[in-house]
Amino acid sequence: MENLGYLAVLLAFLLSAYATVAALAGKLRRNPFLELSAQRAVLAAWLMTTAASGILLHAILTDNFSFSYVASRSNSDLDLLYKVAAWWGGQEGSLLFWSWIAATYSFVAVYTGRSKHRSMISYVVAVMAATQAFFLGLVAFEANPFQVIMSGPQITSVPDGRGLNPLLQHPMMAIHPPMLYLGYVGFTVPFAFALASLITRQPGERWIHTTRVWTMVTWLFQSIGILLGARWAYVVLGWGGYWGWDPVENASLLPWITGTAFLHSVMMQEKKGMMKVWNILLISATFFLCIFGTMMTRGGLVSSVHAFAQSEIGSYFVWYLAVGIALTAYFILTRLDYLRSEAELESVVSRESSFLFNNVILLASCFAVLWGTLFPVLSEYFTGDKITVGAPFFNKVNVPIGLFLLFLTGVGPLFAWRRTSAESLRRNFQSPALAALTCLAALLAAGMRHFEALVCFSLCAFVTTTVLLEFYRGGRVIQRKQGANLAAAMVELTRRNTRRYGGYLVHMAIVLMFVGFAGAAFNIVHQEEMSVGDVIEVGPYEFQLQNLSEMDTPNYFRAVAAIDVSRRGEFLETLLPERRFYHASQQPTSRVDVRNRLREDVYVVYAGQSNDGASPVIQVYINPLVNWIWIGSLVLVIGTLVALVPSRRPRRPRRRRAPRLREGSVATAGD
Amino acid sequence: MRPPAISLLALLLACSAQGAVPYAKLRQVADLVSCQCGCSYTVGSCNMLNCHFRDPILQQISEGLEAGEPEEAVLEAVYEQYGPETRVQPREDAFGMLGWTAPFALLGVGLAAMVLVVRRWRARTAARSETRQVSDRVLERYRSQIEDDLGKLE
Repeated sequence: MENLGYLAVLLAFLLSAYATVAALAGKLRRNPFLELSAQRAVLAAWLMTTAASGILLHAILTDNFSFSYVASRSNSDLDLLYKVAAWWGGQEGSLLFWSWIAATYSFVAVYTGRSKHRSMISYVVAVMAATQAFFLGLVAFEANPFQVIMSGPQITSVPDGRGLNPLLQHPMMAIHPPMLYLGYVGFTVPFAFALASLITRQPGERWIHTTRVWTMVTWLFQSIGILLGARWAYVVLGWGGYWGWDPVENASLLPWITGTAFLHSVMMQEKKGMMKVWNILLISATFFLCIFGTMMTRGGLVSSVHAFAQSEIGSYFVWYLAVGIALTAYFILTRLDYLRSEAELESVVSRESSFLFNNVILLASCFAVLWGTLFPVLSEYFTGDKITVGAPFFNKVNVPIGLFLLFLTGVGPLFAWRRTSAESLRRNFQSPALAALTCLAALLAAGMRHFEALVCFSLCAFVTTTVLLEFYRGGRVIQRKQGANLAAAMVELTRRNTRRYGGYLVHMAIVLMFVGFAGAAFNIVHQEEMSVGDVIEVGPYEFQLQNLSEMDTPNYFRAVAAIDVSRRGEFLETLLPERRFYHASQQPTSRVDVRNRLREDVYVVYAGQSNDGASPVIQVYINPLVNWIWIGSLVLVIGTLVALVPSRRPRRPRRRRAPRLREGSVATAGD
Repeated sequence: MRPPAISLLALLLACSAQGAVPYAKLRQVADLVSCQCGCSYTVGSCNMLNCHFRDPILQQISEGLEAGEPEEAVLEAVYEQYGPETRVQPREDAFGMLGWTAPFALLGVGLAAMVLVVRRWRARTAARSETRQVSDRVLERYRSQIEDDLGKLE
């Protein structure tokens, strides 16, 4: 089996390399047979990668502990879900998983886009297959998951594996990495289309439409991956927070930020033929930041709790990045004439300007995160001292930038395309500004004095009013015309322009998340050594330790503390935080228990035991508004899905029929 | 099988129990020290059991605060003893200042560049509008867009 698995990886690598060369040679020599052959090699590479993945998965599921990877990442008592998760739980398996996703994306992108983008599909194949070949090369020659345990010349096996890292044994961890990988790897597709369009000097806007849709899909996956990771950190790591500004967390955020900037600025290109160089730079930066993030996780550039074991593969990533960036820069510089803007800005107070501002702020935020992440490397290089900046630095730098971005989220839709008159500006700003000021006054009257939280909540009111007014005004027009009720009219409005109103839903999601982030300003934390019957008071709550229980399972030993939670004397519920000790890996972890409410979370951790082992140490966190982050996450997913659905165009009367669109152009719903 | 005895933060708890240093305060200060046990968190947030790195630092911070030393002095003593890698913020030197200001400097440069670009574009657009008609291609696009928007209103 191990030989078959390795053979499949090797063949997939060779097929991907062949697809790259054949696609380029076919295009340059105008040989359609070679081009077709390259496309078929993509399919064959996917089949081989799928076969290799199937063999590894089979070995994990059947507890084949002669595989070194299986022995080190799984064990016989592991639940089925976590056995599957063991596929991406280690360096070698995760690289194979990555390669399989890349192969699947290549297969889907090539076979859905080959007739639509006939003139550039070979370059798309070349870019995607080259990336795939790179990762398959790493699997084949540096991180082989099919290595077996040898005893002299004989293959042997161990009685049981060491098991999956206990921190990864959580349902969220079965979904979070695949989502993140779908995001990371997925950005290869829009990058490949963008680069191919650049190489072929693609006319028309059809390729932009394809690139934008792929970007939105992968952006959605990346968003889900990041948010699931935050939720996992919140409920598993047991430190009361959801984002620690860890280098690996930051690595996932960087391409998300540039991808977000691209999704905004690409509208300028679609609608006005502007910012072409900028868009190519953004999508390229997004792709290279994905590769850079992967290098950080695996190459040992920075240390992180999420990183895989440090290995030698970092240098391969450096080379890949260097060559990739150099080639992209070459194509951009030699095709500047093709990237020339078709229109220019007419006013600072316009929708175009707001997109520009939005991009500048997003890039500043991206730089701030990158700067902080690389600060240990830079400080060591320049001063000799390795200073790893943490949450205090990131929060101080990113909070003002984030608030400015939130402001722009509300301001953007209030501006018209081209230019906004003073009268229109006054009319559009009136209600949102009034809402923001009312919110500010109410919070001040209620006694809130935290400056950043006050600004944040006021801006949230501003943006919410903007978004609601957009829906209301559009809905009223349809309501008057069709006589439907306002809610139905708003649904119809959204269906007519899914991209625009889906986008507004995403803006609302961001508002909800900011409400959750602002709540952190009022977190309360307390820690106490408790005996059975003891009561502690934290904020308005009382916590009484009722009992302690222990239980042994085949996979782990667990100690559970039953804690009654009351609020001003009224019993609410019993929380059951626990500590686990995993037999296979000999590692302890904590499982928090949380009382989730819209107002605040009561978050209880069984942190350990006192020196004499008699009393548990209980940590209590009161985290206000944190649930709005998860609600915002759901709204973000819904909003993006809405934006991905094609708009339903209303029938037009004959006399007002619009002229036919030019060939190669795409009718885009406005924003 | 019972796990090995789990001991945790004995001194911290003793301090908290005596009420010498409130836990929230201790945590706030300890969150300005990077834990080097491999957890990637701060000494205040490290949740590793029997952390060899966290416990002595918590003890030192607790003793310092209890003795009435200012936070900054307590932290500087920790950084001095355990090395600059325990800092979670850039230090107060030239490179540290660069660390703090670089993101904002980039933001300022970006905004300034944007304003310059917009001004240049506006000037060029104004000059062109005086000398040249709108190209047919652009005109066709706008007409199409207007028709599109009117269609939506109906």
